[in-house]
Order: sequence, then structure tokens, then C-alpha cells
Amino acid sequence: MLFVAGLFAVLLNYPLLAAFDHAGRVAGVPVLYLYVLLTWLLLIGITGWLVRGER
Amino acid sequence: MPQLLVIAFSFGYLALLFGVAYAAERRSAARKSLVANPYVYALSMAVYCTAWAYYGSVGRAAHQGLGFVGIYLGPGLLAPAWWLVLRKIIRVCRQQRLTSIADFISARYGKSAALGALVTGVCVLGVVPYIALQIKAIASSFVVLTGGQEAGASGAALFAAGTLAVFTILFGVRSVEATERHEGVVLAVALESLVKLLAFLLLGAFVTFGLFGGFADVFDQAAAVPALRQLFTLKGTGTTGAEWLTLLVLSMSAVLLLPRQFQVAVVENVDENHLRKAMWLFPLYLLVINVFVLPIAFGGVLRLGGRGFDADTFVLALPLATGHSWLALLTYLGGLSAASSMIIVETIALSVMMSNHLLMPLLVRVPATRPEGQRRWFAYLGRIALTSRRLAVVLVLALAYGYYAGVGRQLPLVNTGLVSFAAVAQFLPAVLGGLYWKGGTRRGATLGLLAGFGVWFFTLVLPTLVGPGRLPVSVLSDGVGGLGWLRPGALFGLDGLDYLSHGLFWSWFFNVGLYVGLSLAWPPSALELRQADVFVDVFRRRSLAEEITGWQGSTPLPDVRALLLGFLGKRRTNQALRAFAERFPDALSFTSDQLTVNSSQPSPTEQSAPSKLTTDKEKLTSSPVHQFTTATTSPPHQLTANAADPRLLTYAEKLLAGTLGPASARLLLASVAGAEEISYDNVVGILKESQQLLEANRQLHKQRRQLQRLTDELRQAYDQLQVLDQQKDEFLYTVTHELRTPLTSIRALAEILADNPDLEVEERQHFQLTIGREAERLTRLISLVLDLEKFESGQASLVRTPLGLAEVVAEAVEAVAQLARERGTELRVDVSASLPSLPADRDRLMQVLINLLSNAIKAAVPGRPGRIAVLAWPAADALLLCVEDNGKGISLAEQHQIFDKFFQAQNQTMRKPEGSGLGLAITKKIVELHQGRIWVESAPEQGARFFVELPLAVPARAAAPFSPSFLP
Amino acid sequence: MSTPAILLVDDEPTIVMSLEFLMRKSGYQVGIARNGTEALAALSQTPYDLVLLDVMMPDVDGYQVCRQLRQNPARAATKVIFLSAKSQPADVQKGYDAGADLYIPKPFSTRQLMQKVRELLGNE
Repeated sequence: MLFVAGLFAVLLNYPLLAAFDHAGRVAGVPVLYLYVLLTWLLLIGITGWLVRGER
Repeated sequence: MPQLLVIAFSFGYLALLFGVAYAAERRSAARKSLVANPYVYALSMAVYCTAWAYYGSVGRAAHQGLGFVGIYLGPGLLAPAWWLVLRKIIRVCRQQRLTSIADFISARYGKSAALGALVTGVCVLGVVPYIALQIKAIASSFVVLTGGQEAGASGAALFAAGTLAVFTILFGVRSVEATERHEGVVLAVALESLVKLLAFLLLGAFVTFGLFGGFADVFDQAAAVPALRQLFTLKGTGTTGAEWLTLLVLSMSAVLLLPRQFQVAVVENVDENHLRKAMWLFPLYLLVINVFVLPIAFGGVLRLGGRGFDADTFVLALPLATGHSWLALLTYLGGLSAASSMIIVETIALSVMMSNHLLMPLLVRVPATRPEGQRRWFAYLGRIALTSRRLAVVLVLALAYGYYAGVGRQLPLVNTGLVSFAAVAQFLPAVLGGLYWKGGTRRGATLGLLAGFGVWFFTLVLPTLVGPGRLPVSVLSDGVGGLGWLRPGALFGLDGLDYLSHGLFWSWFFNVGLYVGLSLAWPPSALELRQADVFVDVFRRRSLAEEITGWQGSTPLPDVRALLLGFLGKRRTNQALRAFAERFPDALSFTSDQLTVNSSQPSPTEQSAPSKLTTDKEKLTSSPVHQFTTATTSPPHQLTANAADPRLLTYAEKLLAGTLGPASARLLLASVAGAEEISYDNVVGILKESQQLLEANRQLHKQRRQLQRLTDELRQAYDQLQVLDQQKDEFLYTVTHELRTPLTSIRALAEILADNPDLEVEERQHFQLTIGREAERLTRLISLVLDLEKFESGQASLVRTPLGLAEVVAEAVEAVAQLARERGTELRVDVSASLPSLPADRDRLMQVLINLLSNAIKAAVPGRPGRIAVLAWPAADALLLCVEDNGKGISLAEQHQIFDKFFQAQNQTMRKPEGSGLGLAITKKIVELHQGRIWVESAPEQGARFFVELPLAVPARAAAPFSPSFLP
Repeated sequence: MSTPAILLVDDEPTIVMSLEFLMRKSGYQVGIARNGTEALAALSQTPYDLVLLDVMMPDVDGYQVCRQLRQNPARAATKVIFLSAKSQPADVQKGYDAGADLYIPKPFSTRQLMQKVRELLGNE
């Protein structure tokens, strides 16, 4: 789980973040906004899954 | 909206909270807890989202775009690590009865009272402005909603602070023992978290789908405004990587270390396993509450921009401006929830810290000078502890209100919060170091914290104090006292970082530097060493019994009892002592009814006199080390009726720590009971011992695993050997059997010749010839067996020379021609002389060919003329040879077995029709020695085709299994 | 009393040859079977007085031959001597269990064999 935390810390930081830091939009929503929220959701999902799996 | 209505709703809502809290406490008393489940736990953690999140996020988003998310993303990123970090903190706190972040740090570093006070001080200074912020949020939201004047704000703020103080005192500081959880508060906070989430989502949905046509529409309209389009990216808002990272890191530490987070996550934790759900529920909560922030912010700017609204108030102003006043009221209640829950929990935490770390350490020093009348003094202290907490609640709220009334009004929501985060972030080195590094010392932690806090104040607080009537602007531009390297925004000339990152960098730089440096420079004291062990190895100790007591020598039991009586009351004291007696039956040598404090018992002062005498005697007769061993061996005569076991002292200390904080409890026990603290050498000795025990245990485990593995390997090897042994037996058995057959003939014929001298010459010759043939057969058999043995042991070697296959085949055919003629078998050879030459051992290859040919001849069905063909052709990197017959064929089952030596051994009473049973086994060995393959295609009555594939080049590596014999 | 008839059962021609010589020389009538099937056929036709029986044979083994022989009441008088290269106690026991009168491991002494043959036939 420490690895997951580390991985997403990298995913949601510069310089990777900069890759999505542009003015484009997907379905009307800014790319950056979408990227951050979806990655975050993924992190929550993985955490929930890992925690469940350990039970 | 009418002021009265808003006030009525506010009070109605707060009354509801009171009701919920009251109900929860009732249920808790009846042991039907509403709080003991992971969902309430996760929701109560959402106290993290204050009014700052509620109003301020939108404000920040309206100016800086996505930057606000970092504060909520940080905790989300850290959440997967909670199982390691937060669970450890929870475990330590439960074991040590720690109830605040100040307790935690003070206890870890030798139960230092000074450190506890310092942490408390930092918390108060760092967090009071943050509380003021919440009051401000309530006040200004009230003003916005009622459309009143700024002047009305102060009144609302005062009301709010007062009501919350009453709530906090009623439900938060009811009991003096802080380890008793506040179920009422927790449930109320969880409910408030739910209210603020729903309110915010409702508003978000209203703005996004009511005022606009969905997410895409909001962003489309925003994109049309250049100022807003800039906010789509972090670049556009000027948010640098450093700033983003700072936000993440700050919020990560804040979610662990803020007094209120520590309170809900650690102190109010009922069950460590609730953490599992909270680890994803809490981040999910943060995610959900943030989805609508950006749309609301953009919506606010688009609809209300230019009308002079503060972006922090968009949340309320949007529904108001569009005429949805009920929605605005609901939103207001959500904001009230966010603010009040934060204030309540933060205040509880701070009040306990202030009482335990600022007041108590001073008070507990007093009775040392007045030994008589202790019990009354203790009881009095117990009451003071409670009262002081209540006073602290009022004091904190008063301070916060004062700050709000004085300086706070001008500050934007977000900045104050972040500065406050940075203050508690100063605890991070001491806390993490304390959890994972045994080398951290009190000196390092204290000075590190002090330095970090100083830098924090200089770089982050000082700039906010600049303004008319306060500090001159020159402090910022020219540095303090005109010294350029003392500019708060660019300390030591470090320029180019934003305000927050700069402050955090320097404060952590000094903090960590001093913490690590000083910890390494001076060795820890005995108590620090013990506490370090207790904290870092908390998961490795299964029971408290393994814990090292921090005391030595004997303290009169009545003194300890009086101490507990004073603070815990009769009922709790008796309960606690009985529980102790049950756990350590050997520690108290008297019966449990003697434990019970009844009124007929002589007063402590009367009893203490003789008991002191006995303990003095003991001190003279026994060395400290010996005293220590009594904890485990405890000869009964040493524990006279009134001497307290060191373990009892540790136990009592923990009980008191729950009430007074660890430092005060220790001071009290040390001064009142006159107990000696354990010496450095003893602690080191015991720690070493326990470490050695742990180490030995680990070694044993390791060795056991190794032994187990070895046993398994041995068993496998044994099984293999048994199989081999059985095969060997069978082989031997079959060999002897095969030898017996020709021997029988030879012996019988020889005896006949001997016994019948009158045989006819012709018959005699026939018998003699037969004897010769049988002897030859015997010889062949023996050499075959020896050959096979040689192959099997890997001692066979090849003498490879380039061979013409056609020539060898011709020679082999020549060798079996006699046999073929006898059986009337037709032999056809089709092997081209132009085949590439084969590197092979001539004699061995000959052996293979003769064997296959003679087998083919013998396979002939009686009564049908045998036909045999030998074919050869080149394949990729190899030559293929085929011996084909029209004999009786081989069944599929037998095809797998014929290459085994003495294949008939499987079916012991049935004999293989022809041959010794060794020929094909040896043939196969020879082919394999050439790195070739041999296989058969056949069906019963359909003849058989034996294929041999031999490589044209000798692969070097494939020679490996036989390599020793290949070497010249 | 007519000349005793002896059946020789073995798949090794040389052994059969030497046994045949020995038996004829002692004046017995000799029948020969090269495998279990031939032996069973010969036994069902002719009431042999004695069978010299090999164990390991390509089709039906000696034990089976002996067992089937013992199930035929008309051949109750037929004696059986096993001559086998299988000489382990378990094999010998198996032979007696199948109903043999004697079990002689190979290689055997011809003099001893003739002695036993005479004994078995003389007891009749």
C-alpha cells in the first residue's frame, strides 16, 4: 500500500501533472480537472480493493 | 432573508445536534453504541472539511483554479499508508493512554513536560486563528444570508462562539478521563459531515444543472472568458510545481497532526479495523465534496462577477441572487455544520492539551512539599483538572473570538488555514521520527520544534502582520533591521519560491536538521530509551506484561491507592486495582477484598509510617537489579503487604496519564509516592535483553523454517532414493534371472555330458556347441549390463569421428545378414552415400544399428516373410535414420516402455518375446549420448518404424550432462 | 504299470532339449509345450503324471497353468514341479500356493532333479 501511495504521489505531481496541464477539454471538461479527479478516483478504488482483499 | 428566521434555524439546528449527542451518550451508557462502526468513524474524520473547505475552496478556485484540490488530494494520497502509520499511532496511544498530539510527543520523548507544553503552545498559537476563521465564516455567512450590515457580524460571531462553548463543555468535557470517548460529539460531528456534504452537493447540482446546462456548459461559458480560461490549467494560474507539492505535503501532515484530526482519528477510534473502511471512504468523501467546487466558482464569477461579491461567499450568494432563498438557507446550515464541528472538536482537543500540559505539570509539583493530607489534595486536583478544561474551552473560544474581532476579519479564509497547517506540520519530524527511529531524543525534538516554529512565525506569520498601524512594509522589502538576508519572504536570499513553499522549506530545514543532528549528538536518557522502545516496537509486543516498567524500588501501596482515589474516585479505583490483580496475580500478595477501599480502613497517613520502614529496609538489603527481577520471580516474603510492585506503578501511571497527560502523571507519581525512577543502566540492560530475546526468537523462527525446508528436501531425496533403490532391485533381480537361464542350460548339459560318457558323437557335439552358444549369450548379457551401468553412471564416452552413414549401415546389415537368412527375412537398404558425414562413435553407432536390425528381424510374424527396410535422409542440422519392419508391431502402451531396461520387469511373470530386454535401453542411451533422439511408430500387427535422429553438429552446451567424460 | 508320461513346459529350447534328453534316458514318455497355452492344451488332452513347469513364459505364466490344472478333478493325480529362475522366497511360496508339489530354482542339478522326479512318481 505504501507502493500505491508512492505511485499516485508521482502520478499526481509535476512533472507528470504538466503533461495534462494544457487548455484542451474532453467532453467540455478541462483535461487537467478530469485527469486529477479520475486518477484520484482510481486511487480510492485501488485502496478499497486492497483493504478488502486483506480481510 | 429575515434575520429572525435564520437565527431560529441556526439554533434549531444546534438544538438538533444537542439532541443527537445526548441520545448517543445515552445509548453509549446502555452499551448500545451508535458510534462503533466504520462509517461514523470515516464521517467524523471529515471534520477535516471545515468552513474553509465549504466557502474557501470556491473562493480559492475562483482566483486560482484547480490549486485548491491539493489540500484534499494530499490526505487522499496518504490514505493508503494509514494502515502503517495511523494504525501504529492508534496502537501506541491506546497502550499508553495518550489523548492528544501533545501527549504523544511528550510521552515519546521521555514524558517531557516542557515538550508537552511547547507542543501545546504551538497548537494554540497555530490553531486559534483557524478557529477564529470558522467564527468568521459563521458570522459572515449570517450577514450574507440576512443581507445585514457588517456590524451585525460581531454579534452573530459572539452568539455562535457562546453556544458552541456550551455544547463543547456539556458533551466534550464531561469527564475528567479523556480516554473515555465522546460518543455524543462524534455522532454529532458525523451527522454534521453528512449535512455539509448533502448541502454542498445540492448546491453544486443546482448551479451546474439548474443555472447551467451541465458540466460542459459551465466550462464552455467559462472558456469564453479569458480570465476564467486561464484557470483551466495550473500554468495559467501561476501555480508552480513546488507550490502544488507544498499543498500536498502540508495537507498530508495536517490530516494526521491537526489536534482535531488526532482527536477523531486516534482518540475516538473504537476499533483499529474501522481504519480499513475509512482508508477509502474518507478520500471518497473528499473527492465527492470537491467535484462541484470548480463549477460553482465559475458559475459565481459568470453570474455575479463584477457585482462586488467576495468569491468566498459565492456559495450563498448564488442561490440568493437567483431567488432560491431556501436553498441558500440549507447551504448556510451546511456551512454552519462545517464550522461548528471543527470548532467543537478542535476546542476539546486544545482544552485537554492546555489542562494536561500547561496547568497540571505546575500543580502536581506542589504536594511534594506537603506530604500530609495528600488524599484530599489529589481529589482536589482531580476536580481542578476538570474545571481547568472547561475554563480552557472558554479561553480558547474567547481567544479565537478576540483574534477574529482584532485581526482576523481582513484575512481570506484559505491563507489562515494554510498557515495553521504549516504550524502543525512542524510536529511531523518528531512524530514520524518517534514512530520509526529509536534514536530521536527529547533535546532534538524540542529544539527542532522550537526552531521550526520560530521560522514558521518569521516567514509565514510576520508578513500577515504588516499593514497600517502594525508593522512597516519595509520589514518585507528590506528585511528585519534593514538586513537583506532577513527578509521573511526570502530568507537567506532564497528567492523564487512562493510564500508557502518558502516558509515550509526553511521551517522544516531547521526543524529536521536540529532534530536529527541533536539526537545524534547527545545520547538519550533512560526514560527516553524506554519510551522509544515502547513506541517503535509497539507491534512487536503482544502484551503489556512484556513492557518494561519504568520504576524500581518499592512504593507504599496506600500512597498509590490514595493517588488513584483522588483522581478516579472510589469505584473506578477499585475496578482498576481488581483488573490489575487479575492480570498479575503475583504482583499483589493480598486478597482482593483487601484491595477494596472501605471506610473502616486506617487512613493513609497512619499506615504509611510503618510501611516506609519496611521499604527502607528492603532498599538496604537488595540491589536495584535484584529489585527488578522481583517483577518476574517475586518471592512472596519480599512483597510485604504494603509494598507496590513496579508493575503496579506503571499501571497507575498509565491510568493517571489518561487524566493528566503522561508528563504530569509521571511527575505526580515520582514526587508523591517517592518512587525512584529506574536508572539508565537498568533500562539499557533490560532493553538489550528484550531486544536479544526478540532477536533470538526471530532466529529461532528462521532456523525452524530452515529445518523444515531441510526436512522436506531430505524427505524428497529419500523418496527419490527409494524409487531408485526399487528400480535397482528390479534391475538386479531381472539381471540375475536373465543370467540364470543360460546358466541352467550350461549346467544341465555339462552334467549330462559328464554323466553320459557313452553319448553318440553327434549328440555330444551338439550339446557341446549348445554349451558354447549359451556361454556366449551369457557373456553378451554381462557386457550389456556393464555397458548400461556405464551409461547410467555417466562414465560412457564417445570417440567421435566423421562417419559415412551408408558405410556403417552396410556393415551393420552385413553383421545381421546371417540371422536374416536363417529367418528368411528380406533386407532392403536405401541410404545414399552422398549424405553429409556424421560426427559419431563408430562402434556405438554400429551397436545401435545391429540392435535395431536384429530386433526387426526377430519381430517377424511366424509364417509371414519378414521385410525390413533401412532408410536415411537429411533433416535440418541432423540426419534421420529409419528401420522399418512388417513384424507383429508394438502396442501403444508398450511403446512407452520398450526403451526401459528390462521392460518385462513391470510384468514379472510374463516374458518379453525376444531379446534380453537391455538392447533398446542401451540403444536409447547411446543415441542420447550423441544428443540425438529415438522414437517408434507402430501399431499391433502393423509392423514398426524406429526413428533415430542424430545431429550433424555437436552442440557444445548440450554436452554438459556428460561433459566430464568428454574432456580429453 | 505303464510308462509315466511327463510334460516339459519351457520357452527356452536348450533347456527343453536337455530335459527331454534326461527324461527319455530315464525311460519316461515326454511331451513338450513351448508356452502356457500349449501346456494347457496338452494337459487337457493327456493325463500326464508329471509336469515340469517354467514360470516366466510369453503368454500364460506357469502359476496360472498350475492353478488351472488343479481345478481339473480329472488331473488330480498329476504332479507339478516348478523349474524357475525366479528363486525368491515370495516366488517359491506363490508356486506352492498355486498347487505345486515341488519348486526347484534354476539352475538346478540334473541328478537332484531326477531324484525328485523319481520320488514323486514312485509315490504314486
